[in-house]
Amino acid sequence: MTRLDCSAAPLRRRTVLQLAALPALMSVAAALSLGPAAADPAADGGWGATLVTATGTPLGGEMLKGKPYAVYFGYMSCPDVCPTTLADLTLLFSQLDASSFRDAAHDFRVYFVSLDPERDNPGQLQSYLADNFDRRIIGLTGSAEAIATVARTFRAVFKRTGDGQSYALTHTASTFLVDRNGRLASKMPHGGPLDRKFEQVTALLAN
Amino acid sequence: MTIRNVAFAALATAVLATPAAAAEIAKGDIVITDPWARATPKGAAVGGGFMQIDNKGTTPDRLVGGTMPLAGRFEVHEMKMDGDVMKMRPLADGLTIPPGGSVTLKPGSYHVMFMDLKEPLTEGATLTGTLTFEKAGTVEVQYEVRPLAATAPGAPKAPTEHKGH
Repeated sequence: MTRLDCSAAPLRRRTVLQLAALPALMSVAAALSLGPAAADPAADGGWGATLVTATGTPLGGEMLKGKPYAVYFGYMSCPDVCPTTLADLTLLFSQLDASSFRDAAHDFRVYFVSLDPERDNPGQLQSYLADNFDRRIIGLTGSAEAIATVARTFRAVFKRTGDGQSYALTHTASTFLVDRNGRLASKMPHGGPLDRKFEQVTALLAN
Repeated sequence: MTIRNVAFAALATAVLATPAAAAEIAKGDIVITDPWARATPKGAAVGGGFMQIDNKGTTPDRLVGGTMPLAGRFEVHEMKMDGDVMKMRPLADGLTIPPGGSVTLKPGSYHVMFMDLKEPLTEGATLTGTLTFEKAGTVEVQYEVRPLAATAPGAPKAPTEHKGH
């Protein structure tokens, strides 16, 4: 299968997951480096691991085949790019609802994958998203290992900085857009005009 | 959004931004201009504070800490975008303000972090806190809380970019 073939995955040319300082993640990364290449979402749409929604439902990329969706990797203690991205996505949903893409937008989901399972518990993640942002933004969490695997699948980078309770996370700030065949269609950069994001998402929904 | 709504939003923004534009606090050689904080989502543990800091003196000074009553802890962080990666790190030794120079704390760059928030930072509120400089000492600042999606003082991103289709 393509997903097990290093050379076949075009996105593999970039060095991906920087090792997190978290010892658990370091051991996972070490284990991954000995194993097969990271899963390519272009293969069967799978993420290489199954996550769980903030309300407790298991979810993997292969379960989303046939539905375009978006993925963002962030964390609740993120002061800037994560909440502003979520606020932008919420505005984007209201724009979509007011457009001819209303029906497609109804079933469109954005998955917010917590990169900080140590601090972001599922209940808090659920209320953080539900109380503040569009309900179509779904929180995902899981074991540190599963989260690292899914990030690796998307070539999303994350790395812990600082010590003790005050650590921060360096992470990819773009939102990944995945088409209905499970392929990575494009990435929406953090910030920038909402109109451009609207164009990217409607292109995804129309495809 | 219609032209009329855009104009109204711009007017509302201008009115709201007026008092903040005048906010300038001096302590020793340090001048702090237009401190503001971003509103936080409910349940968020952290918030960010932003401002311009000028050093009118002839020696470097350093922002080494501060307080804010709604925050359990206070830190100074550096953030920068490297491609599509947001790089963030706590500045354990503080933030140096060069003599005769200026450092702007802004989204996507340096910021003060309000950690362990006891309650959300609410848009429109004014938060009184302190900043501590190695040489200039401790100064009281008032942060105006601006909308979550704002990217710059007086320029909320959401209304201006939320054009109709």
